[in-house]
Amino acid sequence: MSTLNLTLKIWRQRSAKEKGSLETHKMDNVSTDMSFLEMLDILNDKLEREGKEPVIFDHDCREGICGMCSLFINGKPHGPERATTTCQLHMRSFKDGETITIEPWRSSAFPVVRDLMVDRSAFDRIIQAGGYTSAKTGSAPEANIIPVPKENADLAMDAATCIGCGACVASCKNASASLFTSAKVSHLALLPQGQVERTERAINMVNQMDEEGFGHCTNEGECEAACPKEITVENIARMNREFIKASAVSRG
Amino acid sequence: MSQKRTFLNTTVGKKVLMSVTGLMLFGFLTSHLVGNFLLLDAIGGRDAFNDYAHWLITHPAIIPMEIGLFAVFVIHIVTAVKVSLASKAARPESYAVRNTLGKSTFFSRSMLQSGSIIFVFLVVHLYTFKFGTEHKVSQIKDNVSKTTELAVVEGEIKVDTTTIDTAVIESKRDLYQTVVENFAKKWYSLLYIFAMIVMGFHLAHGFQSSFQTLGLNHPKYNCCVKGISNFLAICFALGYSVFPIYFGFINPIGG
Ligand code: FES
Repeated sequence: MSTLNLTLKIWRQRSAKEKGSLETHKMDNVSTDMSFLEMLDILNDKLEREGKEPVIFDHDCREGICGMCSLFINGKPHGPERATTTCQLHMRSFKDGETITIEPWRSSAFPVVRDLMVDRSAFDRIIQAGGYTSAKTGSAPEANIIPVPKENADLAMDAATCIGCGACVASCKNASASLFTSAKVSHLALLPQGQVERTERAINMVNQMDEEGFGHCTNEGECEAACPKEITVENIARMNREFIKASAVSRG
Repeated sequence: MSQKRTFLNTTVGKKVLMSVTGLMLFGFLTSHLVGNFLLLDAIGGRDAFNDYAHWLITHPAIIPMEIGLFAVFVIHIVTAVKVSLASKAARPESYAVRNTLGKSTFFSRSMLQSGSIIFVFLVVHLYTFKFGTEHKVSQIKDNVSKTTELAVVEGEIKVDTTTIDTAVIESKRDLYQTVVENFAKKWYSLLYIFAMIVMGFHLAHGFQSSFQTLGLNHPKYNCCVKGISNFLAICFALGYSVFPIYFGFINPIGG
């Protein structure tokens, strides 16, 4: 087991209203087998023992499926590895003596709650606006009663792997939420179960996305590279298609 | 939820407007470039170019076309500014460290800057060409019109059958002269070439981006959309640069 000596520059901010700044911490003997969040746990442990405020950051499952972890590490969402959430990032991805800058997602729609924790309820409101289907409750229907073409099922599942972490917004130069919203629109537009609300969904979700103050998509493609679930910008094209079509025919 | 936005007030709608106007401007650039080639002796030359320019500016459709083109430019520019301001507002505090993930390009990141340079170029271009020095060429039209005159002689109306031969001298703008004079200034030609390269940058991202915005993205065609976009960008930058290179450095006849 090898160890690293690191310098951490961590964003500290007491609340959304107060100004924040980077704070420097030295970390010695960091095991390369540690996860990034474990490394921060150790830092917080040390800070608490010293009677200082621990660094606040979001996390939950720590296995790459919940989308809670959200750190902007050395200028990239979720750090240097592709298709990896912060919680799945390990210290072996860093070099001895490295300075690691850790910042929160930066977007007016994601206000900082404290330090590295941001409020991502804007995403919840986008989902509430249309990311659902109307289904009859009661006993479970026969699974194969509605045929779904294999290709559509695959594309829908790919889109559905979005964990809503917000890395797309964080990486976008316009802080646009197009990749997230389009993954949700696509997922349901591709399945028979999503057809009933298809038109209104596209309109309502795009409207809510705009209402939250996210920026425009200028087709940079950075979101696709930042996404820990490798959602592609093909979904954004699909969302635009859905939205253009819906705007033309909606009576709402 | 609050009141629904009209199509053009949504982020997607604004980008659709950008791409549609962008593609229209691309169409304009194409026709403009084709016309420019008449400047070359091998293809047209002074008379051919002036005739074409004259035909264009005297065409009955020119006024509505120019108004339309002007509107398209204004819409494209105003929407671009709006989109950029909204994006700035979407991230009020910038990152201390930010690295690209390798998907965006220099061209895609600098659309506002390249667009601004093209705008400045456009103003200079209109000022020095369209509204530039007016040279005239006179051509004697070979058709001779016959005029019949009515002469009134002592209260009686008599038809005088004398016919007068009139040689119609037509005077039209020698735009060719304006072009070659401008390009003969080397600094002017260099700036022109610079602007055309920047326009190539703008097109390299703009053309392919418009398809993505309009929802036309399919793995089958994506490679060629990007390829065609880059190819067209190079063609346009080179194509438009032929004239300042030729009339500025190879054959500066207007100096
Ligand atoms: S903590 Fe759940 S995805 Fe990282």
